Amino acid sequence: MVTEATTAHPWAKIYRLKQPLQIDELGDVLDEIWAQHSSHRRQNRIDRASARLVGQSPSMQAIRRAIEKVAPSNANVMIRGESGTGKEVVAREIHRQSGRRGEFVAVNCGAIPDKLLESELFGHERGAFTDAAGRRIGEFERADGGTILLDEIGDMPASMQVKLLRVLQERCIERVGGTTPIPVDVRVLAATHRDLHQLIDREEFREDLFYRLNVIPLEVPPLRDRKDDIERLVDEFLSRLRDEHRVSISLTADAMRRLTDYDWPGNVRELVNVIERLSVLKTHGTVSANDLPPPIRPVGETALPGEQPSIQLVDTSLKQHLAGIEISLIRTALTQSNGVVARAAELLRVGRTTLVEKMRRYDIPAQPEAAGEDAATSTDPDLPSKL
Amino acid sequence: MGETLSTADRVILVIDERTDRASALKEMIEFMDAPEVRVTNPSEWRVSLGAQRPAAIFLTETISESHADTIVSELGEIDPNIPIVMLSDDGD
Repeated sequence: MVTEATTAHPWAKIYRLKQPLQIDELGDVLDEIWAQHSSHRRQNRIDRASARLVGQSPSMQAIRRAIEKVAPSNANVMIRGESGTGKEVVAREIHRQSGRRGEFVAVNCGAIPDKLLESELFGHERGAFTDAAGRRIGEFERADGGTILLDEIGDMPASMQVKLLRVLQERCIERVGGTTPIPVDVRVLAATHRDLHQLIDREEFREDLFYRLNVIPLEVPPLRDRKDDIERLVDEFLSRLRDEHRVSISLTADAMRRLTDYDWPGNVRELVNVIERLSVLKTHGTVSANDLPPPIRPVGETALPGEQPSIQLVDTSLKQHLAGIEISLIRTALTQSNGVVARAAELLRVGRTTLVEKMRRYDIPAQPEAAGEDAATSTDPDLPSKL
Repeated sequence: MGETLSTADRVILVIDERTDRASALKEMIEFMDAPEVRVTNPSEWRVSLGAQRPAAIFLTETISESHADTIVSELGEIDPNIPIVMLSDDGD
């Protein structure tokens, strides 16, 4: 990016960018433009930073390569990953690189009441039901020529699954209360944090729909599996805060170590929340490990002035959050016990069978570097098959 | 200048001779969280803006130097602080 004023127009602030545009360069220019707007909200900044695929870990590089390959095709893509890993970011990137001219539309199938989902997706005609005062265009029509992301597809009710399957087969939708099929040219991406194979086994998800959607599967790794990226993500978020909100904080090496050691059950979204929280409580200076919120800060260490003891609330259900904490505790115990399950069970004060069951449920392996004969590697028949 | 702009004023104007190319650019800028991006051509850009002050103007590589010069001059009359982003082909 070059900033200059021309001889003819010495007052003008001109940025010069070369085609093809680099997203980072364009982002830098837009950042400067928006910096003039005091009303621009901090959260928007962080959201945009997190809306980029940040990270150079092997798994993120693999995701980028996969996106480049799948984007130009019209194949349906199933994006799987835990909550907060950035499945929608991946979907947006697929759309951006696809060259499709229409809109990108994201629908959270789990957030819309069952009765409204059909109307939301396919629209309705006037008088189709009691509250249908006028015609409404559905999200599929809005995404015509573009891409639709069906997020949390595992939560879609069975009745809608049948209708969606028909749309995928016939490439036509029918508004609720309508009789005319409307052709739509929509690329369909689906995302879920759930194990759809399990749902199929329990007959909660249609197998034929799964295979229609799962033409190309993409797995977004949890943050704990790409810990090399944590420092880069933190730097990115802090840099945004510094540039645009004069929040100038840095982290001590110990604080950064705590962040990289933490398992992040809420993934990147949780990390964004933590950085946001730190920037509110501390606008300048150095953040030490003691300044970090629980559960990243070890129990018993002091909190920031005015901070109430709390856990980070992320966009997950209580059940998911508790599962995340449980996973984190089990991993910690296994690390401390060098992978010896019986010792880890003692640390957690649960029975060995209970721990093995939980490890199997959460697919947690014992530590691969575990040493010693009683280390839980291949010698223990009770352990998950991955061990 | 010096006034704080409202959200309604955060319009980015893309001036281009070829709308197909501009649509891709529009999409890219929107992806970067811009609330409103309008595409127009060199002869209609003032009409397209109406009374609004744009947050920035993008001039694509399809705009000739003389057109660009005119637009920059006219823009200075509206507000000399409006940033201008000029796109050029790689190697220019």
